[in-house]
Amino acid sequence: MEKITLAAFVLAYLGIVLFLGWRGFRNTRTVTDYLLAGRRSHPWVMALSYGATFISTSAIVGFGGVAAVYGMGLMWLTFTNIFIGIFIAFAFFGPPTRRLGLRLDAHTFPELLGRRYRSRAIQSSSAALIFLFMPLYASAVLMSAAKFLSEHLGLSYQEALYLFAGIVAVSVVLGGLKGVLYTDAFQAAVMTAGMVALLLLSYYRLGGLTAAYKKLAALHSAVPPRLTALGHQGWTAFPAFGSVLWWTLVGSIMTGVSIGVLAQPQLVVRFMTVRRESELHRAIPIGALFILLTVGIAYLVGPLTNVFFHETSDTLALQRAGGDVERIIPMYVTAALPPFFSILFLVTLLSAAMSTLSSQFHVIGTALGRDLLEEGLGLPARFRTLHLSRIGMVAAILFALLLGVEMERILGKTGTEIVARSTAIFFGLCASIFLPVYAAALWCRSATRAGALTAMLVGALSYVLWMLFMQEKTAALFGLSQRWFGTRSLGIVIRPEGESLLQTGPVLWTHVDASLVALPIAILAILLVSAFTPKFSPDHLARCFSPPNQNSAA
Amino acid sequence: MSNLFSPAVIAGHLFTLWSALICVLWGIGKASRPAPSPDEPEETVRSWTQDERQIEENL
Repeated sequence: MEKITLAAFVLAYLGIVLFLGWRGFRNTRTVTDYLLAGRRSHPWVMALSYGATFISTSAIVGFGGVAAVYGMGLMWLTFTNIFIGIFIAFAFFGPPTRRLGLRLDAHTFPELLGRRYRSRAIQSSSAALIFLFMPLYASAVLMSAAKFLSEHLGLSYQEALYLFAGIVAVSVVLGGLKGVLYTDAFQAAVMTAGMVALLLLSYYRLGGLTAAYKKLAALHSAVPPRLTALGHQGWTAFPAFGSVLWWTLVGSIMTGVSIGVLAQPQLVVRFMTVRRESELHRAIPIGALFILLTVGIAYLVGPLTNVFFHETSDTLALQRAGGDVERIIPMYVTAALPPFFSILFLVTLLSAAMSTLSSQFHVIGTALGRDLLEEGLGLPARFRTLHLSRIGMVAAILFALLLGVEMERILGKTGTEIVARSTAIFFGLCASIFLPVYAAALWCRSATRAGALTAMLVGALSYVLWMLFMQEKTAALFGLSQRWFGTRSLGIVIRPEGESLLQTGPVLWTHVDASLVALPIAILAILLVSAFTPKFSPDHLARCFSPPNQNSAA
Repeated sequence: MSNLFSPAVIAGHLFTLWSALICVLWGIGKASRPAPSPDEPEETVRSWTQDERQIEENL
């Protein structure tokens, strides 16, 4: 009976998604409709779409699980998500992005950079990076959603994968960005409802707000000695300053996610979809409240799962989940909360996955169709059709689907880990490669083509080198440091008496995220090279930065 | 209840709420008065871009 109810809910949900995708299809007439929702999207719809794209399943399940391990210090990530990911992004990056996009008639993020720097190389290389790396991120989301569906609906992994990808494909390929925005807004509403219910039911289950936190604070004595040695001070405290956990939380988790969001192509493109600049400002409260009610709640509930598992089975959440951080929240929902909520939570997770995935497919597809095929190959006007963008999108979906099938078949659990790590690498690469060039495109008139190209190259190179040889998690995964230098990271010094971490003051270098190193280097590169290379013509700069009437008067 | 949490965790919560409040006030403030910067006439820009492309093609 429960399975029938669940299947009915899921099918009803998927039906609504298909209907909204069809609405997008009906309202799509031109390439601008398809790529930028006709530059006429409602600010609230855009804000919800931005938020739902930003927050994937891994933000709720993955980072919720991380909060169960690290404690409530993760709430700082909600602050940076709101302040940097919404406020700074919408109030400061959004308006000039929209303006520049309109003045240069750019439809995609690579096209925006390519036209600002008058460089086909910049447009094509940005698009190639998106087309090569983003499918890994997309396949991670696709695989996690397929696993949830297969577990709950009794389908095989492959059946769930094809069903899920098929429905997202129909709404994205046919509906374009209009379809994506409509479905995202609906999914954002589902996610908000699901997360608010999760918080209220959790407080109820644990004896009320005050009782829940009193129990959580009292668990301080139950922190395993291994975690205490790394700097854990209980779930209602931040890890000890300068400890390994502190650096992992601040230098890796919080920095990587917070900075990377500013240069995510699938998010940047949303700034170009609204009719007026003022609408970007109107969108800010909706985006902020959405983040507060989704990730904010995930980071509140995560630590509380320890109270439940400690009360019911005398274990901590991570032990109960067998060391798999991503299992903590789903296990807690199944064990602690009423069965009807499991259905709502499944739909919440499906919404989180689908909203992220549809935007990813759209961006990957436009990178191939618009940036690489149309602009990169310089196709004549008669080939520049909406169908080419659709073909790009189908190719993107097939690529991600192939990765989802093959990674699971060949590598199993390791494949999932590699894909999850690739996701973090994509975020870091976006920050290191795109952010300095994108910011300079918006505000720096003296930025040159050579400066931008150098910054992209230097950013990529320094990110990859740090990732392969210094940052322990990634260096150990790739194994090059071990093979060439006999240590899993150059930040780990091996002595006869044991290992020690390379440290400068409070900085533990092996826990510093690669983007924290690569980003300043790339910024320096664009400033330095731009100072000594030929500037753009006044005409081009006027077109980029001055209002059209002033420009034509000039 | 504040004695249950460390100062850093309390600060994290306060900053989160403060940033959400800033966003809400910013949005309300901007929505309640007309934008000082003129929004660009989209069609002008678009036709200007098309004109330029036409010139490039002719050349």
